[in-house]
Amino acid sequence: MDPLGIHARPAALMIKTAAGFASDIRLNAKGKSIALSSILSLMTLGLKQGDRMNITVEGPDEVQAAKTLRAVLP
Amino acid sequence: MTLRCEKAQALCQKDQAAIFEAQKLMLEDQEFIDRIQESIGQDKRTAVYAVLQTSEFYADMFLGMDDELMRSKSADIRDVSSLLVRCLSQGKADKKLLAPGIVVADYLLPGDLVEMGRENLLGLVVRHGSPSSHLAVLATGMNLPMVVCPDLDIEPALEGKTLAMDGGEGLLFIEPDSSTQTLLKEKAQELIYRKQVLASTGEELCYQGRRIELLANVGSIEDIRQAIQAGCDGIGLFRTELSFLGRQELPDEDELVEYYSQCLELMPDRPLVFRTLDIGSDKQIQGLSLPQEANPALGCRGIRFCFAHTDLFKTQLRALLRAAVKGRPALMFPMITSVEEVAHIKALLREAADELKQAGLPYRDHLPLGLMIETPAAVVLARELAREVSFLSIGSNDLAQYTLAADRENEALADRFNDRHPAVMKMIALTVEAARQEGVALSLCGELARDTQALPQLLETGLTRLSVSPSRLEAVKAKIRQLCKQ
Repeated sequence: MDPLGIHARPAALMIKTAAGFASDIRLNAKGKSIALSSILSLMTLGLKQGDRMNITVEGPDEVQAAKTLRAVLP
Repeated sequence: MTLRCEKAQALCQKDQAAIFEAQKLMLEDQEFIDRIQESIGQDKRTAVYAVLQTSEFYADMFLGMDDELMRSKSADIRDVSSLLVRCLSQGKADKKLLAPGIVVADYLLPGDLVEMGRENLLGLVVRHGSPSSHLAVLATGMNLPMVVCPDLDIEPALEGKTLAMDGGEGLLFIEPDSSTQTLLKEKAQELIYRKQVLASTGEELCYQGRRIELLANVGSIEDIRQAIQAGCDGIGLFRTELSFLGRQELPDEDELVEYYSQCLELMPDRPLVFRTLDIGSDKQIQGLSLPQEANPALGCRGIRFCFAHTDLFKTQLRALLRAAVKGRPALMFPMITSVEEVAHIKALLREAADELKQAGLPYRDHLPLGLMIETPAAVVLARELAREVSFLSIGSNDLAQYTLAADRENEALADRFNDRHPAVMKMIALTVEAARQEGVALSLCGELARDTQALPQLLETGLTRLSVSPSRLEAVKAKIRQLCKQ
């Protein structure tokens, strides 16, 4: 991950990418689980390099969504 | 609420900067909207309060982080929220428009209009009001079209639609077709021009019952000051090339914007006609080495030079469009010989305006356009040319030189170069008639206008607008007064 953490622009890219799929996409980190549809939720998590996270994708286009998201992760 | 969000989005999208993408997402953020709605719905807060409260909730979260960069995100959410508040607020918030547009409202107080200011405001549409209301009086004073539409359905879908209005007729067009748009644009240009003329100050000069307007030919800010002091109806010719001459480097766009803005600020309520660069190989500019021509007067000069140096020309056009937000200038183009040239000018103007739009810079479009009639070709085509523009202006010096085939710089021809020659006078009369038939304004801005002996003959042709150097304003005025009494 970007050593400076997930800030506005990469966060915007992740949210926009996630919005392009019908699947329910959630990000789990720091003991919290957020829908990857809210940029404010993502940014207020305050993720930084070294923080562990995982993304769950469930829905009709889950395979493609997971693949695309992996490519845009910072 | 959704409407307000959409409005703010529209403002946001104007900014292509990447950072605004994130702000836009914040604005669309369902969690953000839910919180605001909850505050309004359950806690019975006002919308402005709800937005500010929610904004502070997130700002606090960001500020509580241990990382400086993340803490700075609090500014983003506050920025987005202030945009929302600005849209929501009917009260004291900043009402300045961020982009040119027509304001549609149920009702407006005169104070609202004053706070909005003139900048970017193209027109007013209100549901309640009358032509005699204070608002209407104020709008007239601000030279702002206003239409009262009691039956207008003010719905979110209006946002972003193209609106056109005819304040004179009290008509509003929603998504007008291109022919209506063209018609209205032409009407607007005409009106603007007439209004500038009416706004002229000082005494009124008349000749045989016709109002004679006396304008000034200038080349610098100092000249404009002198012209104002002497009393004139406006600036009929601003020679823009003078600021390009006698310097090492070409002025850049920002410098020109500043310069033209200063000129316009001196002439807020009177016409100011900027003539675009009129240079050629006889007037060399540093930084551009122009090839020597055997016949500079018949060479690549005036508009021909501009077409050959479109970068330079477009820099000037962009600067003029940008400065135009400070006033109501008109643009005039030199050395025209064909209608095709006018089409090309318009295309370049369009490009210049598009470039400014893309750069997100403020500018004013659809300025009155005028053409110099200084070649015999332009005289013969005067009617066709007039149909393309708002006004024509005879440059009598060059028109005499080209009509008589006599170089005005050649001393040996000094007695042949006579701008009172019958052929020149006939050329002028032809142009006056063409302008009259096509209903466009016409002025004369050459030396001939300052020649008090030529004045009776010139005024006889029906010319009503003359432009002379500031130092000659008094003498010409006195002569017209004297002729008027006879």
